Amino acid sequence: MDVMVKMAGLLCLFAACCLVGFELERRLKQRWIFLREMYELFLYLEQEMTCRRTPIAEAFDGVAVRCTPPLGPLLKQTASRLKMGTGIPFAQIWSEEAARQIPQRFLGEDEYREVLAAAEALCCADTLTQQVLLSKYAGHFRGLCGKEEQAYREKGTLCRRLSVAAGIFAVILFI
Amino acid sequence: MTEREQADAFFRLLAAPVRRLFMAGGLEISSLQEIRMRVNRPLLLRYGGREYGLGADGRIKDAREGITVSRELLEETLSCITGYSLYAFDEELRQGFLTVPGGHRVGVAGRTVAEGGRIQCIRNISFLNIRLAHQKPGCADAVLPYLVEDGRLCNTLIVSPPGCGKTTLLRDLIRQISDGSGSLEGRTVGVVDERSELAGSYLGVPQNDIGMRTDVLDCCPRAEGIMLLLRSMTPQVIAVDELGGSSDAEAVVRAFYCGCRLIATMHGSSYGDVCGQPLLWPLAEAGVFERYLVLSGRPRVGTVREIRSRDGGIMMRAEASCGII
Repeated sequence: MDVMVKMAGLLCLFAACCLVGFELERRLKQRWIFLREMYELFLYLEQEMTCRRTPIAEAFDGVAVRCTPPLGPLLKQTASRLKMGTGIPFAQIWSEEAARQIPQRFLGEDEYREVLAAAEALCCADTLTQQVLLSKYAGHFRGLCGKEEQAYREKGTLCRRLSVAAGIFAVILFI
Repeated sequence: MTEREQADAFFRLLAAPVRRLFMAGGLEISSLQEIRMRVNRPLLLRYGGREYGLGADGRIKDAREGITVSRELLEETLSCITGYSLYAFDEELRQGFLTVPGGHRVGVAGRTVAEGGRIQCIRNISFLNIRLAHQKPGCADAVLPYLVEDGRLCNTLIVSPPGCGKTTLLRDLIRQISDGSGSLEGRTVGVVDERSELAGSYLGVPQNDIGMRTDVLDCCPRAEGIMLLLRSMTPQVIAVDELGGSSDAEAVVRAFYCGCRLIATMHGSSYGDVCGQPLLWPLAEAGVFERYLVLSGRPRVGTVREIRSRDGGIMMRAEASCGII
């Protein structure tokens, strides 16, 4: 009986250690995917401007269904509030929804600031300047996405392996 | 839609500061015809046929006492009107206007970027002219009986100086012809709406009621539009606004020989004035138009001055108003 309880406890300890590592890896991956989707969003909007010319609320709705949280809900809620026609400036709607949909500490300070600053490109009143800004922000997010991908590939695997190793070590320690 | 709902739908297009002023002032939307915004100039309204400034308390005042429009306010208004999607209206902006939900038209002016003699875009937009769309259902009631003979619609040319209600009248004629009215059965109507004034289409959907059997080619050049409609939509009636060039006249003649009924408008002050215009000679030669309906702005917009038959004979002469304003 004692042995069984001990075994169960060790199993829980091992699982907890592994889960911590897997969770860290998942968060790194989620950040990478978020920034990659932001980059793809700007590429898509550049195409929308030159080809289909879908208004931004409809464009956001179309993209939102293909994006993972938190970007999907961010786009969906922004589109919904734009359609309501409350008269609130776009930049304000975007920053309020970003604060609401993006969990705290999900992004670094610099990345979060970039997401808020992207409102400048999304709602620019001059079409030529908007094209330039969309390209610029697409470039920014491509850079950030690249860094996050590197971080994910390096640290994610390391976190996972370290957590498994820590779990095994803890099990050995308690045996 | 009630007047309150119309007002709410329109004010939702405006930036919050301007919206608050209008709501505070309690102006009647049905009397509001135009809003003019110019950077660093007073905000002006055309209300009930007269010009006023919009005061800081939302009430109408003398033109010089209107609130001064800042660049930020104008840009925010333009952004709200376009749903922060100015790029989606690129093609229309090149023509100097855009149509928004509700069928309202916003004229813009600023710095143009031209290439090879063609306008590529308008930047630094500093002037807005927001013209509210007001449908006047029933304004064609008085004239439609004159345009029908033996249950058949006569080819009609509406002649009018600018701003006298010809587009409003044409819109209601299209609606009544499409839905059917009195002795006239409903007909399939094709509309070439080059400047989006008749149907007020937004994203291809007419915002004005132009009848249940009406097809609209929005932002399409008139001559090409007429031929497209003939080829693809089998219209029984074709309606076009503001015939202007020889290509328009040629297309109208071709539609006439295809057996389509035609309703068109043209700028002019009288029957004699349009008969003297070279544009009308091929149309007169082919005997296209059977009715000439002349509008006037006096004593009020929408006054029907006379209706003439093909040979110029007067069928009706009176200062009867269509009740457009």
